[in-house]
This record gives sequence, structure tokens and C-alpha cells, in this order.
Amino acid sequence: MLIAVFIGSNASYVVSRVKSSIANILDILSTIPISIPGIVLAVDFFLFFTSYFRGTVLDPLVDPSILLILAYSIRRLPFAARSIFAGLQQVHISLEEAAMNLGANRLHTFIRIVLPLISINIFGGAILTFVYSMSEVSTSVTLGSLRGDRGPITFYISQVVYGSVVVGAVSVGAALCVLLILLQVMAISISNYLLKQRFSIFGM
Amino acid sequence: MVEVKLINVTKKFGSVVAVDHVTLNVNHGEFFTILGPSGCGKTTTLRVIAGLETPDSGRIFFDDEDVTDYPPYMRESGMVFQNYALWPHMNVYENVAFGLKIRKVSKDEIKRRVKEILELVKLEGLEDRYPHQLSGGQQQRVALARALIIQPKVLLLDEPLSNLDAKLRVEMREELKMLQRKLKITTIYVTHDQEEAMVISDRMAIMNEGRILQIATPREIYMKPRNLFVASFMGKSTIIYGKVVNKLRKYVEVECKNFRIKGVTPYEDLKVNVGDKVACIFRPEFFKLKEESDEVNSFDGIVESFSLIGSIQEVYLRVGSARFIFEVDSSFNLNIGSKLRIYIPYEKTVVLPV
Repeated sequence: MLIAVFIGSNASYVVSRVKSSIANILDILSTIPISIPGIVLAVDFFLFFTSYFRGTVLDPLVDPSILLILAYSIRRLPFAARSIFAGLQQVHISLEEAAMNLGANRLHTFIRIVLPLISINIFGGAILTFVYSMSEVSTSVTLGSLRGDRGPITFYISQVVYGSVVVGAVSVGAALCVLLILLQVMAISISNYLLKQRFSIFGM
Repeated sequence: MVEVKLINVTKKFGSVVAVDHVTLNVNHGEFFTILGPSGCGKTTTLRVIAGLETPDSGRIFFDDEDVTDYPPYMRESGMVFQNYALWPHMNVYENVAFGLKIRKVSKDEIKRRVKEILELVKLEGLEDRYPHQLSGGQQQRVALARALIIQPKVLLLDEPLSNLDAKLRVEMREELKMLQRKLKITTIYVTHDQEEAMVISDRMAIMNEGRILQIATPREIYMKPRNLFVASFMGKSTIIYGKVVNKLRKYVEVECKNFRIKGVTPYEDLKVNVGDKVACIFRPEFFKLKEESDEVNSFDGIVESFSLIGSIQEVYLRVGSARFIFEVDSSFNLNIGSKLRIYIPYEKTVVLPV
């Protein structure tokens, strides 16, 4: 989530402010992951990291969590990037120019003017990324299955549901789903609440 | 307070030349206006001075310091944007204090200076308001205070009054001028409003299609325009085209379709020769009503329309295929369709090469 937001903010900033072919390529790069099926990414990751990083922390057979984070970041980057891009389009370039005119360098301008103004969008993008990542299935199931004890929640749900035919315990799967839904609803509620707060702080 | 010099500054956007070899000199503490129609490159010129655009060629000096390669935050210029560009997430105090905070000025001093500057722009007591809680005029003052508080070397104003209503605009421009006189700060003001430019500036530059056409005092630009564009852009006038038939030391004679006109070229270097096509420019206030007949510079016509503008009346007179605009005293009795003869002395007739 943090990675997606970080990359998303930076990429969006460049895309919205720089008019060149590099910006266009970056725009495409930050959007294209949406077209990659999760299963493809998972198999890719599995083949690549098991052959070149065998036995290290990056080996999904040792610990899939880092790879899962990476996979989520890539797959959900477009959601963060788009949300932040929309925010940046609302921030008129003259607001930044005014800051630079008054003596703020680019970094200061970004931190003190741009970031506060798009914080709603960054936060929105982050929550969206989080929610989508939590309920992500294909990558989770594929990579997570390699070390069941460190797999994500959707992997367990699928395990229980698929296994239920044999075990007859749909109720466990249902319980896990309820847990997941609760988590998601909480995240969304918190974001809504905070965004309203922000609104009044910004007085917009 | 500095002297600003632009030497041969050119800026292109793709194939469009926004600023075309502009050379100008703004003196210490001067109120300098760049006037031109929209899209003439005046805002780009201002942005080049602020460092928000990098010129393709040419140099910019603040006094003797070459600032061409300085980023905007090193230039120490204070700019007021057309849309004010106030930061919506900061209140008035924070907006105004920003430039000082960046400069790491102590808290007490920031407080003192913000108070001082807000008093100067008459915004005391509004420190805690957010930009959207302010009227257009107040926002404008905040933007001005924000630019002035860093004690900039040069104050840059990009059509700051264009978003205000007519009455407020007149008030603000008077205030702006008073403030500038008081602070004696070198100011460059960009506008497309010729009346505003006339009233407010010490000197002004007329710009069109990226080029500077004339730099002079408002009076000189009005009385002695260098070319046809300047003449037609500044104030009202009647323009008649013709051909030079006689050239004397004091005046030139121009043969037009229906009449012969005597006039003067305003500058020595603007040479016209016999046979050249020229334009004759008449300002409305130099016409006189005349009874006796005099063939040169007298025009017989029919009153087409007239309107009362305070102490004068503005009259449109149909003379053959031409339409003259002139002013008469508001006490003069006019009737639409009535005949009138007007006269203009040759010294007041400007002849310009076309």
C-alpha cells in the first residue's frame, strides 16, 4: 500500500506536470498493471524468484510475504496513481509557482503546498489500494499456497471453501469472510471519517 | 529595489514565438506596464522575469546581476498571479507568512512583519480567514501582501485587477499606485486594459505578437504613437489611409480618396517619402467645429450618432465613405442627420507609414 502510494504520487506528479514523451510512457507504465492478470504475475514471480533467489528471503518457498507485498503494489498501483493524478489536476500549477516565487525550492513546494492539497487523494488512493489488496485472490492463492502458514487471508478462505466439500465446514469460510468484510468496512469507514475531518481542516 | 534589464529575450513554445527579441529597461522604483492584446506574450515576458519560464535566448539582469540562469526561488521577485494563487489549505496569516518561514525568519519577527504588511493592505483582523472566506478584493490584497512581505527586488503583477468588478478595479488600481509610490518598489505590471495602463504607469511598453512596438510614457504613446497598431490600440481614433503627395519641412501632405490632409510624422526616424502609402490618425479631442471654409484638414459630414459622456459628447460623423469620431462640448446642440464641418490642425494629425 505504501509502496503503491509512494510510486503513485511521484509518477502522477511527473505525469501531470511534465509535458514530454517520458511522462506519457510513465503514465502508461503506471496504468498498465491493471491489464496483467494476477495469476500471470504470481507464476512469473514464482518462476523468477525460485530460480534466481533460491533460499533467500525473496524465495516464495521461504517466505511469500515480501513477494506478496510487491505483487500487490504493482497490481494496485493504477488505483493509487489515478486517484492522486485526479487530485493533482485540481491543484493549479500557479499554486506551486507562487511558492517557488516566494523562495521555496521544488522539494519545499512539494511538501508544503502540493502534498497537503492532495492528501485527500493520497489517502483515498491508499485506502482503495488496501481494500483491493486485502480481497485480492489470484496472486494470493498462487503465491500464498507455497507457505500456508504465512499466506494472506483470501488464501485461507479459498482453502476452507474448496476444502469444505470434503470437510463440510462452510461455516469456517463464512466466518473468515465476515472477518474480511468487517476489516474492509472498518477501513472504508475510517477513511470516510478522516476525509470529512480533513475537509473541515482545509476549509474547502 | 532594482533596475530590471531584458536583453534580446526570446521564448518559443513549439513553433509559436511568444516573446520575440524583447529588449527593455525598467528603472529603479518605476511603475512599468506591459500592455498588449491577449496572447501577445506579455505574461510570458513577466514569467521569464520571474524565472517561471526559461528564455531560449537573451539575458535578464537585476541591476548588474545576471539572473537568467537563476531558478525562480533565487530571484527574490514577488509575483501576484492573475488568479491570485492563494493556497486554500492555509489561512491569511499562513499564506502571507510563507515567504518568511521559508527564509527561516524568527517567529516574533514573522508576527511583527505580517501584522505590518496586513495593515498596509488594510486586512487587519482577517488573519484567521481562509481564502474562500474572502471577497475577490480581499484575496487580491492577500496575494499582494504575500508578495510584498519578502521585500522583493521587483514586484511582478500579472493582470491582478482583471478578476474584480469595475468599481473595485478603479479603487484597487489607485491603491496599488499609492502603495507602489510609498514603497518605491520597481514594479512590472501586465495588462490588456489600455485605460488601466494609462492611469497607473510611469512608462509602458506596447506589445503585439511577441514584439515590443514602443516604450514610452503613456502621454507620449497616446500623442505620438510609433506605428498603426499602437495608435489603434491606445484610445479612440479615426484612421484614414492615403498617399503622400508633398513633403515639406513642417508637414507632409497626404492625398486621400475624398480629401487632402496635412499632418506630421511623430518621429524623425519614421521616414515617409512622396508616393508612400500612409495612415493619418486623428484623436477625437483635437477636432474643432468650424464654420469658415478651409479646404485642408476640414471635413464636411452628417451626424450619424452621438452620445453624452459626462462633460463631452462623442459624435460619429459620416464623411463620404469614412466615419469620423470626435468630441464636442456637452452643451453643444446636436441632431442626427444634421450637417457639420470639423477641422483638425495639422500639428495634431499623426501620419504613419503603413
